[in-house]
Amino acid sequence: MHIYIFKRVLMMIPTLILISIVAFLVIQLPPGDFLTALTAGMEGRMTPEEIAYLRERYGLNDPMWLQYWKWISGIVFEGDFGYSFQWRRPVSELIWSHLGLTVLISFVTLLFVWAVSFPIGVLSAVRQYSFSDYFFTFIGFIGLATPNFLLALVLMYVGFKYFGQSVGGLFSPEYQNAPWSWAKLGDLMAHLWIPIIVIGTAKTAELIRVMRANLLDELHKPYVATARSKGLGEMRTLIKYPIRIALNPFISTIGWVLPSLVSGAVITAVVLNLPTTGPLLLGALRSQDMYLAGSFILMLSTLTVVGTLISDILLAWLDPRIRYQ
Amino acid sequence: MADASAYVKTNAEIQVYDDDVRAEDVAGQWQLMWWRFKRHKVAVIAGICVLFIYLVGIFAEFLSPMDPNDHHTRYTYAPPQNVDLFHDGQWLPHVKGYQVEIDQFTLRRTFVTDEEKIIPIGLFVKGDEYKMWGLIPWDRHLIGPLNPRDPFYLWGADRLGRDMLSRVIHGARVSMSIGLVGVAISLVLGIILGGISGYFGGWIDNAIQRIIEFLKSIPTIPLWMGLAAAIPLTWEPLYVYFAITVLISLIGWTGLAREVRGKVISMKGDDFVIAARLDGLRTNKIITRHLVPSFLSHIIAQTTLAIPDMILSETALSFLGIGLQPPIVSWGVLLKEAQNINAVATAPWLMIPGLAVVFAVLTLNFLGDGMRDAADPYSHH
Amino acid sequence: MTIFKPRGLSRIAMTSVFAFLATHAWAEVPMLQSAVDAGELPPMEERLPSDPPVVPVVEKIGEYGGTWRTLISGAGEESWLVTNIGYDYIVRWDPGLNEVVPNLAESWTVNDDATEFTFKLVEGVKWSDGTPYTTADVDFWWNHVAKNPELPRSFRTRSLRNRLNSTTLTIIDDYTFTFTFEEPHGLLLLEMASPDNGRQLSRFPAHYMKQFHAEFTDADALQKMVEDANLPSWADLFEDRANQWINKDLPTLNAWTVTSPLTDTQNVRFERNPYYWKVDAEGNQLPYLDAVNFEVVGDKEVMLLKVLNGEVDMIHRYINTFPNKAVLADNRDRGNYDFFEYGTSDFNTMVIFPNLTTDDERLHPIFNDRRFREALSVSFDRQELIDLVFVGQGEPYQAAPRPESKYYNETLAKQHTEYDPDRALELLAEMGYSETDSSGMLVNENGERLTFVITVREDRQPMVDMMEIIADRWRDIGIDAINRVVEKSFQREMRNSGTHEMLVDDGEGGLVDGLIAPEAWIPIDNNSAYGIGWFAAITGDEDALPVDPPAEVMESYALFQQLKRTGDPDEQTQLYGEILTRAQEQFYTIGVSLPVAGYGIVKNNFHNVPDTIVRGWQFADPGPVNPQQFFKTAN
Repeated sequence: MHIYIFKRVLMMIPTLILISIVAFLVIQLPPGDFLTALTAGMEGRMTPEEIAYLRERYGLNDPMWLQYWKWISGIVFEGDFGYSFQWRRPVSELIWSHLGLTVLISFVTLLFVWAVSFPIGVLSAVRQYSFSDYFFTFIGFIGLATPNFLLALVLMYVGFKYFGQSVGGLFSPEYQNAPWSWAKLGDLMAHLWIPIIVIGTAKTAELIRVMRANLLDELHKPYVATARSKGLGEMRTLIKYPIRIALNPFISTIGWVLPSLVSGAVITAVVLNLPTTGPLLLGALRSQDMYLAGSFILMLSTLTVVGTLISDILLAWLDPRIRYQ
Repeated sequence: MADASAYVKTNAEIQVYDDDVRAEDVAGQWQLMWWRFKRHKVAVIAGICVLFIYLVGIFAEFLSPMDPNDHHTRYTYAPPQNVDLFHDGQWLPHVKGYQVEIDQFTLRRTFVTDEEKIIPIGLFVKGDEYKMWGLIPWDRHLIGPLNPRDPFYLWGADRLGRDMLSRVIHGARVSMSIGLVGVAISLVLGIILGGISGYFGGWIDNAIQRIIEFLKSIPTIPLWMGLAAAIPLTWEPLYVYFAITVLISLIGWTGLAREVRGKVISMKGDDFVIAARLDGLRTNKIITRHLVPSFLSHIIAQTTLAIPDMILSETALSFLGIGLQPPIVSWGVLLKEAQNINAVATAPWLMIPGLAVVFAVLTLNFLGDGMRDAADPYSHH
Repeated sequence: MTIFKPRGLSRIAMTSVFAFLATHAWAEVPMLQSAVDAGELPPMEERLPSDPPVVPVVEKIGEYGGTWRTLISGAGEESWLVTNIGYDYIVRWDPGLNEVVPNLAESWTVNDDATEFTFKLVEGVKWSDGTPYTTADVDFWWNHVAKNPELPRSFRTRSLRNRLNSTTLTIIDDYTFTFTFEEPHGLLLLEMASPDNGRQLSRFPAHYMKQFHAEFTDADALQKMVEDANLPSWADLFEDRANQWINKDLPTLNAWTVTSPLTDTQNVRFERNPYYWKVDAEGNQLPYLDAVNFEVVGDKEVMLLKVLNGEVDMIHRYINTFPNKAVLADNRDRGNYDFFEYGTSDFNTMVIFPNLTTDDERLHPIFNDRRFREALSVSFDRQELIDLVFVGQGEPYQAAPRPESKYYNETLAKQHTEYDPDRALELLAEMGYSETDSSGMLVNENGERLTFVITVREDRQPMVDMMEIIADRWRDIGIDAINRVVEKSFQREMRNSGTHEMLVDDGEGGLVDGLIAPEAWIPIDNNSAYGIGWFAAITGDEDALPVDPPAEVMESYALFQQLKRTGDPDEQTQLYGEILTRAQEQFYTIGVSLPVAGYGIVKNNFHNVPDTIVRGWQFADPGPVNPQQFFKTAN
């Protein structure tokens, strides 16, 4: 087991180096740089002289490998993720300040996804091809089938039109800077349902499907038949083994949970104007705020790699067969 | 050693089956799949729906009442019309015309149904000229007003007075084919790389797995944005279309490759492969003759499930402003145009492409699920 | 010698100073009362200049208190703060945008050949920390900020950067200073009233900024501050500390000072400057509103919903698009708001710029043929576009000053706006494109088509729509135009490097602002997308490949240089007219239609917003209509 983990961690290193290079390249791909995006976005004019001055100061004239080296050496040796041109703040500070609410939303959403997909998955496996199988799978899939940005917009309009809500964001204006209180928590809950539904329903389908397939596999194994023939009740038969084993895929969701805890759902968050990291990332990409965007991509990629590793280790621990494959 | 024992064990299993011969056991693989598939009734219905959507896409020019890019100044934001079959007790399929006024304050056209203005409609009517599949010039449309100059907006009109029905129909062609082409690209990549990875194992497997892991770990949106921006500006729409499709399939193939690899690994030890190898067949023949067909069914199901992801990805790209651009009409392009409060509040028919996406993605998912359930005829009855 | 004497209401006559103390409607600003009582702040009279400038109210004398709730889309939106909060320069535009009027300078004199400008500052104006604003601050800016080679070039102002060494600043006393130029500077006052230039003079409080300046602070201490702030150099530190939208400690002369910076991702907030130096006609210190809060909302649809829901007091940006008017009108009662007119100084809804300096050898002669541009112009129906995209609002128009401008030139505005495809075909045939190929496209004797790519900005829906239809019409007569919709920054990148073939963009500068920014008629800016190469040759800008301008362009440029050298408005108008005539003869660009007034949103309990505000970056709207006198009531 230890050797397995060691090998996997060792293999991560070249992957991470490659990722950091590609992360840096990806943000350099669009033509122009931060200053092009900046001058395009502003109303006032900048003379070529002013632009040249800023370009020099931001180090945008340096060769790309040098820019990369400055950035990556800062991260590796000093833990310095660079500086956001757009927000004029250190990148790490910017990301940290958005992380709390992002993790909160992702976590609540995850609970929602599990709470919805687990029972539907079990039901649709046990009652395969019944009306309730079709019905609940349909409900589960509808979230997957609706483009998130559209659903978010429509729900927001519904919130405004029929509930008179202050929409967008996670708090009404009066609570935004208020200290935490029950009223603020209530206000948060009133805002939270939209992102949870939008982000959550998109993910339930996947888990329902996995749960259903795995449970079906287990249900047809001889030991289940044995248990049944011994007169064990249906419910107890289910809970005793098949569900437990079928739960394994839930563990593998940790792979996508970790990065999404940090990134939030970018598109949904943008539409809903959530104070999470998603809009920050998209904004950074749009304005070619390279250190913010690059560090973000690097963080997310690293988390995916780490998340995959953790879920692999957990699975290997639960199911020794995997280790020796 | 291990190979030999597997061989022996399987022989023993065959012995067991021999004792209890059923129709299922002697039927061909495709036959078994079809039987299983039929049991999943929703999947069958979904399959018919998917077929329907593709037919709509294929015959888009004929099925749409108008040219999807034709604008009509008088009918900007015209609401949908109802079809009535009878007039004064007479058989006369028709829609009603509009009374159009301009609200000088809000600067929009207001539409009132003009009960007096009867617009007779019919099947196979003459209308806008078009070239079927860009080849055959024709001017017949499945449905339309008898007088092509009359307004005919069954699903309403957009901000330039373009017919939503025609746009959704043409969007079906682009969006659904993006799904197919994208999946085809993923499939080729996935089968080749996954197959190689699984069959050869060792360092090749390791290298390919690292590449996959690496690709999967890069967040899609930055990757898309970076690559989309690199598409040359002067490219023709058709090239842009393919570039976007490749972009979308970039994320699809890795999953498929893993799937293929897993299947290949589990099959590598199977007796008939060993048998083939013992017969002295060359390696690539082993892969193409024996491995590929045996998990083809599984792959087809997997592929069907990948199409809806591609369709949704296309809409997401459009939302980000890096997808297809007008005058190409795709569902993503249409949805981007509807992605505003003004549309939701004052012209909800602009959201119809959203329903089209939901319909397509749902049916493809049910179809794919049914096919996957059916793909493994020998497992869990 | 011209002496500016303030007229009308803009200043209280000296005689009224005695009445001044007695006419206080309010003894103190309620928000500041407790600070005054506690002795932390001097009373109102001591904070104000002895003879403070008076701001005319639009409707009525207001009440103190309340927060102006508005929106901002993100940290890149500095210009939105510049215009809403920061329009207090030494001079300013009057609310009607007719002339430049006093502000921090209460008067000025200009010599006849416009080489000597003497400004007299209002006495007793204080920075927001209570320190007086004097010529020492002007001196600091000119000699230590503008002239310091390490600090950003933008601090020098566009207006003066080329005259840095030939200009002398003379400080006469604490409140009087003179700029002496070697060359006449006829546009100085106009430029100083506009944000690109004007804001530099009044934003560097010497007493505060010196501590971050290498010429005034010990190198070690400065280096320590630079390191503590995690910045690369003292210049970065200086710029960072001098940012009035970010640095809460920076004293300013604005009505509100920042309490939550532009870099905040939720709210950008400004609160009352207790030392603001203007009053209303009754002598009450302005501003009326205690605070201005810009909620940071990145998504325009969420912004719209917030306005619909009545969460925004007044706004005339982001949400006031043409299509949104319907849904905003439908929800007026619910959101308790109404519209005001938002006029525009734009002269066109969309200008088509062929790149006359393109290095494409095939396109160069075609684009430079006036007949080709005329053919493009007459081969689409402008009225059809107006009806379709603007519901009939507006009229066919070229790139020309607006009808209400004193520079209006009817020929320039209206030439080649008739829809006449036959005429277009005639012109193209003259150029040698008389045959058509198998797909119906015009070709010349070598079988070459008229093929070119037009780049359209993705963020402007009306332009995307219009260009699609125009390109259709061009293809109808056989011009093989290819439309490409791209991101704005992408288009800018192409434009600045002069690599575009044809592009479409705004038509800005249709009123007096066209005097400061005449780039539609003379290639003097990146915005002159028809002649980027000429612009590069004229200014030595390195981004694009320089192309030697033809004689006509140089003549126009010489006329503009001459215009800048005169201080006489009549002569300026006459010279400007000549430039326009040349532009009309050359016909560089193709316009579509004259934009009509847009709208803004104001809550029914938000007062003193005029019925009309005119848009234009050079006017820094709504700055000229004095947001300091906006106020809010309970209902």
